[in-house]
Amino acid sequence: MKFIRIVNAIHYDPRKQRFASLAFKNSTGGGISVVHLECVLAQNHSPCQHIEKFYPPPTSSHPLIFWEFDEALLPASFTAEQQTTQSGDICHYNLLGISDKAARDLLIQCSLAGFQICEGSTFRPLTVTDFAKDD
Amino acid sequence: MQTTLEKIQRFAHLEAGWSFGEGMAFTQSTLNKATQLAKTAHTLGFDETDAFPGLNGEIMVTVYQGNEYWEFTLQPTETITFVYERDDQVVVYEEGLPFEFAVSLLTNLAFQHHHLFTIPAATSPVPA
Repeated sequence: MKFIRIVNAIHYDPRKQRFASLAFKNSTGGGISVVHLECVLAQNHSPCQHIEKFYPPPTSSHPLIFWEFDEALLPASFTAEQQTTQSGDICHYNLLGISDKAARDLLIQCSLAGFQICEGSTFRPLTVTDFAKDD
Repeated sequence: MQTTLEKIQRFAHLEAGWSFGEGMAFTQSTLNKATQLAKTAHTLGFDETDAFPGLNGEIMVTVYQGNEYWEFTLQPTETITFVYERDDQVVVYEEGLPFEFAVSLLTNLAFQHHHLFTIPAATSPVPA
């Protein structure tokens, strides 16, 4: 099973050239919010189309970035609980049983190229230069 | 590039749902403590700092010096999660620390790294 985590560019740390751990952390009492990739594809959506439809960005200039990962990366203790969002996303899950420390370790081990940035309905690996305009 | 203090001030304008539908607003108490910590770091001579907003109302203040990195996440519960990395390797990860720990640690680090002050050892406020 593969998941995608929507990542906010505000969590990019230019000095470390990685995302801060806040980008992948438990919500208060609710686990880590992710989207089930196979479910998205079954709806004939690309990840970018899906994010744009159900998780509209704060501004039109806000880049859509996501991290795709396999459940094999997660601690054995994790469970995935389906929870349809208020926006109607049936592919939304909460990952439970992952400590904040374990989540941090997973995120910071992922290189920047492991994240994807949307360009319309398609996407490509994220690079440092994608953040240059924010400096 | 905006300063760390300016970034923290801007977090006050983030409303509930600020990150793709997730994300709580920040309490004035958390904003104040993050500001205090960033100011303390700058006063003690740490020029490289940053701040990041958390989805649960927490604020992370980070300090960089060479190959060393200190991360303080101020939780809405007023405790701190602290991480210390050297050469990108986690050396310390601690949750549930009091806010005073962060100020004390930065002060101690300033003595070690910058030798900012000349205070007789007997009167030093830095823990041994």
